[in-house]
Amino acid sequence: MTRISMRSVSKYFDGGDTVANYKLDMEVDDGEFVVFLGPSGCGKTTALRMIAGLEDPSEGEIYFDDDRVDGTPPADRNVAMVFQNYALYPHMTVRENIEYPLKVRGVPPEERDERVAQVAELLHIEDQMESDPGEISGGQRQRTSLARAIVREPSVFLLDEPLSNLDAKLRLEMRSELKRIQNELGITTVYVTHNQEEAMSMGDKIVVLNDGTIRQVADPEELYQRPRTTWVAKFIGSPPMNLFEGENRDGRVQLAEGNTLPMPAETSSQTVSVGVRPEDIDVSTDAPDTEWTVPGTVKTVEPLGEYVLVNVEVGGSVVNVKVPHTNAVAGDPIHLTFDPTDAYLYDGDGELVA
Amino acid sequence: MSVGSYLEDRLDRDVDGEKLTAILVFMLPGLTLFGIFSVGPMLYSAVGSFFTWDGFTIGQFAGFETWIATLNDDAIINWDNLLALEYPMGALPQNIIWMFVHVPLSTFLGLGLALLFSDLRGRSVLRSMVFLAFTTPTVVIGLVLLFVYDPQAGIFNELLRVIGLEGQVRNWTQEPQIAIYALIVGGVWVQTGFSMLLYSSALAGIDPALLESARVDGAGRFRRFKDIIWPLVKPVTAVVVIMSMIWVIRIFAIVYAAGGPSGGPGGAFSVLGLEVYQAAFSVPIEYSKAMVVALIELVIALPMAWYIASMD
Repeated sequence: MTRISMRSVSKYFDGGDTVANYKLDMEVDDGEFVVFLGPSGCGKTTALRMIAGLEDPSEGEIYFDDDRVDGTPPADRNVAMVFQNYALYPHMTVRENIEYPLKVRGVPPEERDERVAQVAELLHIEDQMESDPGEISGGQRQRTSLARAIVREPSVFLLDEPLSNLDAKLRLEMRSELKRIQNELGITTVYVTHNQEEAMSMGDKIVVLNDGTIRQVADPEELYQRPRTTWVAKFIGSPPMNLFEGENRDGRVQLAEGNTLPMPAETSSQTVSVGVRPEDIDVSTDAPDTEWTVPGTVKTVEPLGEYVLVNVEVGGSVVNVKVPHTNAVAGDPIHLTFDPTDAYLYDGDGELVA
Repeated sequence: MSVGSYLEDRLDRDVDGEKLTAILVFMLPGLTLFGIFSVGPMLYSAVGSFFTWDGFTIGQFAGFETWIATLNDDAIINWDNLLALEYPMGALPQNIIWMFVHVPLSTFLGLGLALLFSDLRGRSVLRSMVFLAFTTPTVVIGLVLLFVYDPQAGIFNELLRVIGLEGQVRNWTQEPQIAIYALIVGGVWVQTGFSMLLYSSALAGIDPALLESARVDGAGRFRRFKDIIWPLVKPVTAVVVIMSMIWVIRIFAIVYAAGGPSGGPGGAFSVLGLEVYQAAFSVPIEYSKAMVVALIELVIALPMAWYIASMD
């Protein structure tokens, strides 16, 4: 099996004018499911393509175990890749598509048939084997493309936004299916997505990227519990973390709108941000008996069934709050309260203090 | 099957009499022109080929007389030379030989150049240069060929001298056994631009992810071409091949410019088009022979045109 290491890998396009990736340093352990998560244009697909060998790094080194692979063509890396648009060969049937990598590698026909039958069973596409890719549904195409990738038992499995073209219900289904297959086969997997729900639910480890650089590498739990920068904090969660920006004044946080909050932790930074997740804030119409509170005005109330999303205006910006239920209506003055243990403190550079 | 029930079969169910009238009214101008300038002359020649003609005035019914005479005319088919595989073989066999040499050459050259240029800097300039030949009047191409092959001033013979093949220097367009191939090169030059352009757009239409996927699957350059590119450009290949065949069947100006009305020494590279022209417009005027040769051309070209038109 295979461990992937990227050492200071950068990729420039247009003679250096465009920086797709800058100094990526990371490891994917043997058998691990790692997700590259980031907004579109953050360089996550380029990073994946460099692991695949479809792009060569401008600088840095990529290792599979102890072998340096950058410069090696994709065919010699034993990687398999699933493309966003599936990239099924339109002139071949589902069977021929799945068989193709084996055929190219000169696997004898009897063994080919056997292995194709095995993956077809694993992915439940036995009934579509003789159809053309154009005749089957999106979900079946997705399965075919997965089958083609795993049929030759690659040492590294790369997926580029594989679920983004599916409808919501199918996406959920394929998510658990993918996770099941990866568990079953134990192949080292790198999965690229901009969908944090997919990232959180599938990844053993998540690599958050923005502007071509790695912002944080953590498991899903840690990523949610301890976002290391304000950027990650504002990227993870739906809706993401609320940040109250202010000045560090005499051990208290002086908020822009004139209120103060106690300082959740020690810092010497002049400007700070206090972050609280929407689900950790409570609302009350009466002034509460705690100093961990900020007053505001209800802007809109969205009853979503599972919870009520209250959007509260605090000094010109909107704070999202998730509560089980509320009687508040738009225009009401309201107090936001939270527990100090749920508060995060970020310094002036956006780095987590505590 | 009657015409009525055939039409009923081909038309949608919701086309009733009223709609059909409307459709016919709108098609009338087009159909009229098509009838006068395409179908009319075809039928006219088909009927006319069975009559004797005095100049351009129709004479008596002659049956297959002209057909038999034409197919035994040395200018059209020289049976003795044909069996001996020696030029001149007559316009019909020569035209077909032209087709068999020209079509594969121009098709594969076009595809090769399209592949070569597909990810090359400055490809649009290169493409324009290759395509230029297709936009040049074919008469000019014929004249250029005369210059190129000129025994004294021609660049081709000069090239032979430079690479030390003085023995091969000759007047290429005047040697009966090779002149036709010298001209075919000119035709290929013209048609390569056309097939390259069609293949270029077909290649641009292939999803790059397919080729990347094949690379990851382990396919090398040749396998990617054989397994992915070639099958995907197949429809274009059909168009290119048939368009080239039709182009060769209709060829006239290159031959006329390079070899005059006789079609080279003893008609060594004469083609059907030239024979039609000869029969109809040079004394003695053999109008019915012109019709027969034109009809032979039509019989060869029509099924191909039909195939192209009925492609999806």
